[in-house]
Amino acid sequence: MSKDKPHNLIDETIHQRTRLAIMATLAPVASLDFNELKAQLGLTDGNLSTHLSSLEQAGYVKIAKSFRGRKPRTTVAQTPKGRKALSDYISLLQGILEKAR
Amino acid sequence: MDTEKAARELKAIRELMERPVRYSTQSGLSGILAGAVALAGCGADWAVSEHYRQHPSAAFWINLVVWGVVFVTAFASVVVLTRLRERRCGMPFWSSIKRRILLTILPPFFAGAGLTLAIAFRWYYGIGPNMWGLIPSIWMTFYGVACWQVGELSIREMRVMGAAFIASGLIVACLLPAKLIVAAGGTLDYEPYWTIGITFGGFHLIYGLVVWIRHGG
Repeated sequence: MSKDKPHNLIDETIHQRTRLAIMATLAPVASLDFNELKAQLGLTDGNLSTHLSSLEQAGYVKIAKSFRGRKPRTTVAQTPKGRKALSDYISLLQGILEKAR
Repeated sequence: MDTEKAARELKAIRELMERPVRYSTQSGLSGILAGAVALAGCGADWAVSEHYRQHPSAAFWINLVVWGVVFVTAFASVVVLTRLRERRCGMPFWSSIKRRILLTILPPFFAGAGLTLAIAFRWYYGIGPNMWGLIPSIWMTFYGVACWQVGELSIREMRVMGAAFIASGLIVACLLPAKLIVAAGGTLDYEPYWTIGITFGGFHLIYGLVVWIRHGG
């Protein structure tokens, strides 16, 4: 019974404030430059990298490193699994609001 | 989690998702297809106009259909190929940034189409001097404006193409290419087809290739 309580279903990976912001920012685009993401969210290199690692480990984002000419380039993209996780999380939040009405 | 926190989080998520981050799923192949379709339209326009030399009004209506088909085909190919790319990334079809892009291109589209129709009606009712020669310039400049606007919300390469179209439209409006052609001993009959072919055909092909190489098909 307690398994079905909303707060037990919360995805701990997404639930963290910074990671939630990262996921929400990645949702409407196919991919983003690491630096663009950093600028959008006002994070430091280390901070963003740490959170991206967690998200990557959970399979929610894909990180690709390439070269543009001689400049190294890192792009971050949300995976279908990540999109679903975010969408589920949003539904969960909406469910909580619905119940309170 | 209490309801207040849930509401706050939802609000934050929505605001982040609606932020004008660049839309990046454009397809290079669609640019190439648009260029090819434009060139085909040029060819069809020329063929129709040659065939109906004695009946310019018939030629006008048929060519209107030709360019309508060109536009719809090019637009549809962009939408379809972009959608295919989105599906591969698992992105939804509709998003607020897409809506913004659509709203941005509507004004120049209607302005260009409106001016074209105005010129057609002036000719049809014999009002004022014949201004057909301005139509390619009108299409180019307004299309350039639309591309520039989309480039602000999407990939940067569109801004370059937008600027190229605007510049071309103004150059053509000043009859520079016409003067060059006459100076080289040619006739003015086919000048509009050259300019439309080089810009709508050529620029799209170049743009499509560049985007394909940089961002994939």
